[in-house]
Amino acid sequence: MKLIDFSDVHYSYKQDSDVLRGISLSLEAGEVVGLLGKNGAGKTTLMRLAMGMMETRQGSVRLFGLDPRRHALEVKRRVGYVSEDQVLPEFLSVGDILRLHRGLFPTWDEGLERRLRERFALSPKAKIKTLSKGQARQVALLCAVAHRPEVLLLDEPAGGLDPSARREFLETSIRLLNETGTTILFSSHYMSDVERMAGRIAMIHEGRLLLDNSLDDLRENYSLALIPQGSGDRENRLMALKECLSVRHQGDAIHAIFRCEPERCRSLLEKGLDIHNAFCTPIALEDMFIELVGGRS
Amino acid sequence: MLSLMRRDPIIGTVAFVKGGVLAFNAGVMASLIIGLAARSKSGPPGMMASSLFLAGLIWFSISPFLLFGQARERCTAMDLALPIPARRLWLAHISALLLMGLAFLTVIFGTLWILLWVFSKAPLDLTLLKQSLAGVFFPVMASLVLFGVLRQRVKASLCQIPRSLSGTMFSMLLLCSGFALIAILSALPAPAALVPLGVGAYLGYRTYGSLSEALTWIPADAHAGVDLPRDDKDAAVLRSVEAEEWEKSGARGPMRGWQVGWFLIRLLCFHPSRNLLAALLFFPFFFLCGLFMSGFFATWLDMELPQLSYLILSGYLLLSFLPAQLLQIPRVDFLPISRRLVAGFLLIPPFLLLAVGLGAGAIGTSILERSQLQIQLGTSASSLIPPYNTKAPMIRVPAEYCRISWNGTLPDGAAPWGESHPAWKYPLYVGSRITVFSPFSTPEGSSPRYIAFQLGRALEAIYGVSIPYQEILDRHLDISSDRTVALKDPGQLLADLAERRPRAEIALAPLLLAVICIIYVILSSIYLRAWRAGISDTRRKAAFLATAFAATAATVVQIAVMVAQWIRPDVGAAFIKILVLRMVQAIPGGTLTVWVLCALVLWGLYQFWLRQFDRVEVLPGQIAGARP
Repeated sequence: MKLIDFSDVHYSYKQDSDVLRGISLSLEAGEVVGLLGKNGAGKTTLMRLAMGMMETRQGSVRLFGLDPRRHALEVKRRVGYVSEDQVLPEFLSVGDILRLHRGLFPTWDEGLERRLRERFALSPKAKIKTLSKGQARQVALLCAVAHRPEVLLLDEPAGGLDPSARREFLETSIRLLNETGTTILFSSHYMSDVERMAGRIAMIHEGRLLLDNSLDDLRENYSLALIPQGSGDRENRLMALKECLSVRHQGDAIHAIFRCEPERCRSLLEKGLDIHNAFCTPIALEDMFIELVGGRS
Repeated sequence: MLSLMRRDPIIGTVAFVKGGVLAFNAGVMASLIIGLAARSKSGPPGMMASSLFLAGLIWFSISPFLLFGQARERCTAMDLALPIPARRLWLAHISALLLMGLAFLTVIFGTLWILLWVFSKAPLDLTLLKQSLAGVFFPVMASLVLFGVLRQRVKASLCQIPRSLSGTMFSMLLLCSGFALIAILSALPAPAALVPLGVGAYLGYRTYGSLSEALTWIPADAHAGVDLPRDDKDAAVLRSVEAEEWEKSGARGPMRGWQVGWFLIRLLCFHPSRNLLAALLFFPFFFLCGLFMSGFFATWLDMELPQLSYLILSGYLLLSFLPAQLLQIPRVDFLPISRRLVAGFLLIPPFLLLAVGLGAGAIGTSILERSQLQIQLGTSASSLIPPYNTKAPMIRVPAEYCRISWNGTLPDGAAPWGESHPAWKYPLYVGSRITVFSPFSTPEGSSPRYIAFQLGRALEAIYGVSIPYQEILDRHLDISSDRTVALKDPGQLLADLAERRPRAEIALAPLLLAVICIIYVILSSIYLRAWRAGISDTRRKAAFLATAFAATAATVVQIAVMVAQWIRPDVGAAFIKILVLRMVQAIPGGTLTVWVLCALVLWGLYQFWLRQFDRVEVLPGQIAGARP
């Protein structure tokens, strides 16, 4: 069952300048999907559309089969959301924030709340405005997960946190909930986090979905070829191969990504293009990101 | 230096400038209206135009900018990280502060000159006002410079003036001293303003010279962070205390019902502190505005006050809260709280206060009307109450009992014995055939018997009681030797009418509320369209300024029309009240139907507004200084 479904979603902040240009992406129950993309690629916009904070210009967004704008309450009761720029009411204390959430979410799990607040060592009387950035994020996370949401949307949730806080945060949110079958869509610039947590990767670039594969598939069926700069128009010849996803100049070499395992990649280059000195290797997610996204203007 | 000044934190204080100008305009207009209305009672024209009055208005409309703006922040964290000398940063900040203040003053004086120009054709002596305006410019400017320099001398080596009670007290003291200085300088020749300017320049130079290489950073929020336990024992104690606190917090149960409502009101109306300050200033004003427009003060003080003149301004003042309220939406937008609920709590406090003011005013007016005879007989020296400066005993009745003649011809008010006099009549506007007239007129030359006859007609019209004019003449009128006629004992006459209530119930309160809501909905619908994710802050501000300009212009035109007496405020108000009374009398169900219809209109307006509000997109990034 599709819990999150983006279908041909378009969005623009300015006229004739679409941030999202026909994104289609859906998440099944229990999936953990890492959303990758450069700054300004449209990840945050996609999350906000899913939360119903903004309205699509074209296409549709459905959560649990419902329009998050029209059925805002029903959807938000079943969703947890943490974002980098999320703001909690500063005048409330931690205790009051939790009381507010307890009242708003019928599925609030007080046991889970207790476990998390003990883990984060939160004080009920501390005002939000007096908390450090990491503590405030922990409160936001607690509020987002303690009602055991069916869908968790995390938009750069660990941005700006130190490594231990980030690890704590991700382990708490993603591991804890995914164990109970929560569907999670999260965006991050930390490839290690994504590799550790996600089962599937969606890469957005300039408003388009560049890649949507399982992490295992990416590890096993993609390869990076480092090809020395040679004579002739190697770039165009490489791009003519249907397995070749991207080609990029890097110093004296050409970096090309192939949708096949390294052995087959080497064979394609030798047989198809008569290139015998290429170095083909499985590709790490970070390299994949840089080659696919970083290399494109 | 210019680039430093351009990104100085003080430049982000435009909201305070706008608020100050708005408060100033409201103050000037209120003073003009009330001053005009009360002119006959309060003394010769020009009293209000004293230098002190003007200086006070100007100085205290600057005060939000000086006290609550970004004036305390001397530079940003980024500036501090750059190799810019402290002296340069300090100089750039104080230059930006003073230039902004002077720009603000220019806007205020410009506004006043425009007002004076608008009112130049009014039957008013504005000479004193013009002289006062010219006279206070340099004192206010000198005071502003001195105030700015003195405040920036406080902990000049820090990147910002720390928040503290003593600091606030010092600022308040400076503010009051600034006003005292203006008062003194206003009484002295203009060159005297050079003295505080010189003192300001000298003190500024001393501070500038005393600064070291770099300003010192202090955190924006001194309370940030938590106290960590020092040892295991401390940690154990802390944990047990926290556990106890959590238990207490848990015992309070989840927030539901009115608690969520109160949370939303706090968030949308009283947060952050500058919104709280605005609410404390303006929310009582909404209540008073409601009282004023209901006609309560007019009845209580027995004065013809222009009660309908604040309709547009009220709508706009209500709108002026909206931008700050909208910026709070991201704090709840991700929660399962419906937009409908947010909208309700966003609108309820100010509108409720206005409605309560209108309702309380209507009830108070009704009580006052029952306790006072609604017919008065006497001479008048008023400039506004018809028929101006008459020496004849005049029958005054509430405006709604006057009549309208659409073609200018008046019915014959002849008494049975043939005596008749032309009625007092007033064209709706200059040159209009539509005329408002009093059917109970008793112009000069009216005989006592005729006055008794008209009084009898007025009693019948208002109380529905028929008393023969001869009885009125014998029992209720006192005729002096110079044939001046007066009511012998109004209290007795009222006691005779104790069982009778005034017949006219015009249900003005719900109608006024509906009109204000219509104005608010029109203005806010234009403004809310600018709250889409793709629309820039500049366009949003432009949309707000456009609505502000439209509302201010409409109010200025309304007041100019009134002051220039193209439409007299009392005649205009009487015209509206008569029409409303006719409407109430014509529709089945009367007042109750009006209430129901107004409630339906308000509901319709609310639904329309909700549709606009539902489409509003506010992103967390739009909240300045937001913390995660």
